[in-house]
Amino acid sequence: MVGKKALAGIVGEENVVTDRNILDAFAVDKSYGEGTPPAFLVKPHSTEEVQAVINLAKSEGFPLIPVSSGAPRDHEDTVPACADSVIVDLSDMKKIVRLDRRNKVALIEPGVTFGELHAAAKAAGLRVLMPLLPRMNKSVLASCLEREPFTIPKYQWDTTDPLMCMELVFGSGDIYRTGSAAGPGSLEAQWETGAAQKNPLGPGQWDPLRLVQGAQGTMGIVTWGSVKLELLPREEKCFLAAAEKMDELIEFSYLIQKFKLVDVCFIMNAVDLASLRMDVVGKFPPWVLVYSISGYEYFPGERIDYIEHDIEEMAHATGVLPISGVAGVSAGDIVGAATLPCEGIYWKDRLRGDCRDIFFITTLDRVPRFLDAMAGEAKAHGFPEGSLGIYIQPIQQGRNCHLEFNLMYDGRNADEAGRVRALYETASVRCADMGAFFSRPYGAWAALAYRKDQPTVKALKMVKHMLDPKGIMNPGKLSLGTEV
Amino acid sequence: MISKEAVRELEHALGAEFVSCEPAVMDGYAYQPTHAEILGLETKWCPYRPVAVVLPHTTEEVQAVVRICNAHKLQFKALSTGWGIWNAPGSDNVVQIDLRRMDKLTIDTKNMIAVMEPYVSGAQIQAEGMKSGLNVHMVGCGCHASPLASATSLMGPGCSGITTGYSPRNVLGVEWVLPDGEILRLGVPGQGNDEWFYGDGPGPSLRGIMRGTLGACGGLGVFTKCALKLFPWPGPAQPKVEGVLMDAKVEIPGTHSSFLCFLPNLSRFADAFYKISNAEIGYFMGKHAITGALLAGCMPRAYKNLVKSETVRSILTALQNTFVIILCGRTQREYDYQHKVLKQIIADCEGFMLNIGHVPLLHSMLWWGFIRNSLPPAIFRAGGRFTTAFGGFETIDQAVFQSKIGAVIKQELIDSGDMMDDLADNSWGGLYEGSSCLAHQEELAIFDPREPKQNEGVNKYIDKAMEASTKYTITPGIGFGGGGAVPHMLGPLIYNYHHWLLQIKETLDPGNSADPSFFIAPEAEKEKYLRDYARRRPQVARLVEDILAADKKRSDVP
Repeated sequence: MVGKKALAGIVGEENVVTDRNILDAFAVDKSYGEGTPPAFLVKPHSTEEVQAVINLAKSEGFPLIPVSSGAPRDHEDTVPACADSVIVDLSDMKKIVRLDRRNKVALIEPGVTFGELHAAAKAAGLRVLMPLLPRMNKSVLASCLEREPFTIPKYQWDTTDPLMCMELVFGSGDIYRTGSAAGPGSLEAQWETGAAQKNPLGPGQWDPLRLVQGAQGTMGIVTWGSVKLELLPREEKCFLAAAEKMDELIEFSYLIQKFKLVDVCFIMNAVDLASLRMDVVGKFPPWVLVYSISGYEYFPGERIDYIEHDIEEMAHATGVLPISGVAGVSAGDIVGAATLPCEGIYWKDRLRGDCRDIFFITTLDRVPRFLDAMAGEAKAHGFPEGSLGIYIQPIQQGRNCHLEFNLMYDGRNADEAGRVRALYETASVRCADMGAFFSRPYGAWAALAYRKDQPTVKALKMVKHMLDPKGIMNPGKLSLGTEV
Repeated sequence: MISKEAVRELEHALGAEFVSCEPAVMDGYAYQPTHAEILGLETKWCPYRPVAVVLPHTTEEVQAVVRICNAHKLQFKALSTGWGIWNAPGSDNVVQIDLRRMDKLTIDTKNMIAVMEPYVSGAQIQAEGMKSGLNVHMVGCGCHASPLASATSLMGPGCSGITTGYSPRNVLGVEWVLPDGEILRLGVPGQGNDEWFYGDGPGPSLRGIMRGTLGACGGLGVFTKCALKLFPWPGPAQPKVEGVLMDAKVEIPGTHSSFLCFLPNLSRFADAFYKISNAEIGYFMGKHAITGALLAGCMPRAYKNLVKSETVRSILTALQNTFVIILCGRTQREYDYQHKVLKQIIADCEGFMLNIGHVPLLHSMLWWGFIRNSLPPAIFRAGGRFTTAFGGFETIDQAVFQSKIGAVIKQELIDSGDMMDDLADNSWGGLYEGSSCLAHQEELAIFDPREPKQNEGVNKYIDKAMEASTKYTITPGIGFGGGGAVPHMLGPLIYNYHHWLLQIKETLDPGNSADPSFFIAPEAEKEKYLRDYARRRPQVARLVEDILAADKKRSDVP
């Protein structure tokens, strides 16, 4: 087991945490994961310190678990699976190294949160491509690395967006830069010739960003990244389309996204909407499609006007009626609430106190069959319909979508918590059997995601061996083995 | 040489009619029409003939060929639609896998996804897609090319990129026969349901070892199927076209028009690109060196005389900072809005624009030529060959900087009589991914390969372009594609990316059965590759000797 002295020699004594209360808290998270408390938590402040910690872990043979967001943690990816691990807490690396208005990009360290980047970007007339109501202390880079979907699908050209380039230290101890940031030349020299670390591909004939994204910290530790930003609209108009059944919104949703007419765009059921807006006086309809139309630098009002008319025609053709508000709340208020970092109680916990999520990738036309299956499972487990939130986030310009079931419950009630756990496990398997793609296979989902795809597991193990030959990076995750 | 036994096994696997060792057929595969000069070759003949050519029809047949090659210590290299030197064998021990019999295409119109085999061309996908209001991204070399090839194995920019992104980022699933014959399916297809809607994961995305800025050019196996994103086409389901290329006549919708935009200098040119990107207008947009490559392609003989006139030359030069933009409104409202914004942007940038819609025949030719991507072959007209340099993807400002540097280098070579006079800045490139402010510009050079001085001039140009990339810290684009020796030369400047490529190659292909000649020279063949490269491109001989000396010094350390 590594000693405090060796770690303190790298990051300084004040940055090695030994408080058992803090360390023990890492052994569990909001998910069902149960692990082993780490031996230490270290807080590096530079790439060189991160590299030194990794090299020490390699030589001494102890596991590292990178963390950059604040508590509470979820999804089991930061729960240590092995004994004697060290948490590498990057939350103190919080510099916004550069914010480039002309190229709409920010180069940030992993400790920068949505709350912080949102404020800086807004001041420059830009907006951050954010997931639905991220926690205020959620790390922007962690969210990108987890491939969390964001609410403006027209800006997602590829799964890696909005992450562009990054610097990281592989488990091998090598410092590396990805995409055009790799050079030639330093960042400063690249900036001088107009570059802004905006090309995510490469360098050369490989694309390490893709190997690190979605890896749950098993390949290396990211020390900075560039994320693309977009213009803050000069004007914005928001709409809702309500429906009794989700099916009624599918064709309309496909159309408005195909032509990239809308900015914010997602579908929610009444339960999730109520959780989003607890102050609503009336009752939400069963399903609501939320969207916004924006005007930018040139003739913003006219842009909104033509798109509004075009969408009206699409709505008419597909039997949908765009409205400006529902249940006493305006569409603008809903968009406003959904596109800012979440203050106070996390929005999914507002209704019942706790929430368990099942999410995966599918396509919009496949969603109804998953809704039916989930309704059946909920009924079989005695789970109330009124506690089942459903959030559908189109991604990649509508070609596929993130489908999320939010099982809201009272965690203090052991019986209810037990039923939720049983439902979570059964429904996850049922959805996987039906073709749900668990692209972010946290915890037990890894076994479901990889059970039919052994060639991918074999190839991933090869990649893992290449980038992290000693297996020190977050062992036990993604079916990649626990050997250090 | 290939043994009779290996040939028999190949014939058994594919049928005798789909295997050939005929010398004349082999020579057909040893000829590729472009980019031989990047290896320093003066002809379009590649240094090596394949030992056999096979034409598989299915993934299982590809798998069988790969396994036979492994068993007989042969290398293999796949090609689909061909075009460049990187399709050719890199040694005299290569079985060429010609994928022309794998040409199936299916389209999921609702989810805007095309699933294709390697020999499906951009033109075919576009024709089928347009019927459902969809279009595909095609690379700059033309509509004949395989989108699967550019998405998985090569590079992928084309000037519809403002709407259609670019190839490597459009992948939604891949079927890949690895160098040992195992099949790997990336993303959803790996689940075994024959569904193709998401190409990454579960967990880390193996697209990361499939390709980067450039693909492995056959050095990591064979891609037998892939899913690519399609994009909206707000035009006719079946455009009515008469004639071809420069003579094409077509009915153009009233909500479409093409504009030639002229800017006073490159700085204002860049500003216009940024503003258009931010305004989210335009369907097709590119710099096409309207007074250079495009004019030379349209009237090659006249062009050579025109540039001799000082007056005409000054006019053409003044109009050099030009781009073409096509607005395609789905509705009249959309078209009117976009037109108004474009006019304002060009005015704000002190430029002017011509609505080519007012010149019907020219508009026909350009509109269809650009939408169909059928004009690229015109680049061969003026000199017989062309080459290209720079082309690294980055911001608009850096793309413009690349063309500026390229023009300076070319002008010196034009002045010394080493290159054909095309007014120096003859760059082409586009804006990608809508509002992303992501761009690329390649600086083209037209040349006549029968003129020894021009051949030499092109070699000098390529070397100087690489030198400038390093000096000005420009991310390489085309530069990454110079063959298996190049990563060993560029790697030390770019975070030693060659070390990682070597590890990927050795991990996936320990027997080196997938021809590495345009991916990376394996360690054991590094010296041979570097010396071959230096022999053909003497300008880098010194660098090669330095690399080899450093290697020797390292190996001498006990």
